Amino acid sequence: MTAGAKEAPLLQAEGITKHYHRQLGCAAVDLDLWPGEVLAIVGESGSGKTTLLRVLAGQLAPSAGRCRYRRADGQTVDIYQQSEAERRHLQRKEWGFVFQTPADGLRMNVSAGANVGERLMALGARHYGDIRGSARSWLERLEIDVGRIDERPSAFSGGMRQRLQIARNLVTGPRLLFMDEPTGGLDVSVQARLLDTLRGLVRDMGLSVLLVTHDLGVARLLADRMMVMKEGYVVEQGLTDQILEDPQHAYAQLLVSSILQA
Amino acid sequence: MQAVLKVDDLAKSFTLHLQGGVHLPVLSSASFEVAAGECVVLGGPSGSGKSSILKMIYGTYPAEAGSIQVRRSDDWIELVGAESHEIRALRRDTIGYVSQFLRVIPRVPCLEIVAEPLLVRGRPREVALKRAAELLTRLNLPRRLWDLPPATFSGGEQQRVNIARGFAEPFPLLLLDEPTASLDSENRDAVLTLIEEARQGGAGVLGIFHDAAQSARLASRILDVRDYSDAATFANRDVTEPLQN
Repeated sequence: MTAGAKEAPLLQAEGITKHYHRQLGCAAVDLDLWPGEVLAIVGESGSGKTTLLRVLAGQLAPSAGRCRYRRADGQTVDIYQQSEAERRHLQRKEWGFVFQTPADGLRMNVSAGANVGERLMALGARHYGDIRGSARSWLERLEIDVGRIDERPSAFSGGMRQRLQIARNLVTGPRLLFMDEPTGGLDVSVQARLLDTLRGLVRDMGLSVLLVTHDLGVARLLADRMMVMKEGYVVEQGLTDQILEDPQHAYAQLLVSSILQA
Repeated sequence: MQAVLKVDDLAKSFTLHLQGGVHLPVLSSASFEVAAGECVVLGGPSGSGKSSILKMIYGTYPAEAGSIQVRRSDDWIELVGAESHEIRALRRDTIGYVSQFLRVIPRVPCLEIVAEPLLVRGRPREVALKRAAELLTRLNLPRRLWDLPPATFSGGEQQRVNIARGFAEPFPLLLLDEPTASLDSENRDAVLTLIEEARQGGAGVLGIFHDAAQSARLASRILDVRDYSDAATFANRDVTEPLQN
């Protein structure tokens, strides 16, 4: 018997390979993500981690391999065998995607409230009062001053923009969140507070998360499990404490030995 | 009593790729069992692999060969080669681990850190916080510290937070790595009492204790870890010393 026998993975990928013309993005990646699990994909820039994330998130069709997702209704679907409309519905309803640069995931010329409300409207919400109420409560959960609900994100600081992008993603109650260097461009103090908020939300909402980061400190704080990538391949994966305390692969040892000791 | 842990022919070595692939053998054939209600103490000099055994059982170090089986209600679960999510599930409800050092989560208050293992198991928040407060009281941690993050606490205070966290949930298997190392005698006694209570509650304990008096008070059996390594491997014993940290 296996310890988690009653459960099944939420996301399963097999043999994911992505080429850009002749250039390799990622190669032969197998991955299972379990409910409530936070998996960090780590490696230096150019290691293929963002390519892998985009393939898994349904944004970039792989050259080979397949990704399956178990929907909230219990049905397992092949992400790239679905129609475009079905895939978009998943992306809006059950998934969220947080970009490193908030401007990529926000609409900069509409208000903060409209940014959060938009995802609800895309799923058919029409009652203005309800939408505004949800937007308000999500701004609060992300510790954004509700008094700024009618301001545009262009008036927000980098950290507040990132919080707004996260609020926009969580308002539809997703089960799976993809994040690409979510704290990448922020000052350390702002980054630290955002990481605290994320930790709390992940636990309270029981979210499953795929997180791309080059920062092992971020992975240590948020992730249950880590995958180390180098030149497109996964060279090692395991529990976060295992990778940090007893890395097996030469590259993983190099990466861990390069962490600055606090 | 029924066994809660079975270790068979367990082996471990380290290969340091950054140091030209130096190979450091630690253990070659560890075999033992721990029964419910028993306290088995791992003895042997520093660097003989005591902590490595605990870390392999907890899944922090991958074992090189052999078998580690843990009882979970009526099943035996093999840990060597287990998937990460299986190990996580066992850490949630079966295996507790208290190390010498608190792995501080920055900016999280002490009381929350202690309550976390209970919250992760889905216990109601009031129950979790009440249990956390009870343990911190027993371990004499001043109440004014409870709402502060432990980063600035003294070594002994941090260690008590760590112990409280480790004992918050009644795990059937407890791994203790020098839990009393930096405590004064009064607090050491409080910890030893917690360990004895856990045993009476049916937990199997596998521990490392740095002083003989504590081992004598707690141990149902003492295993000498040197028996789990072939003599040849230990000719150059001192090179592996830093691995203990």
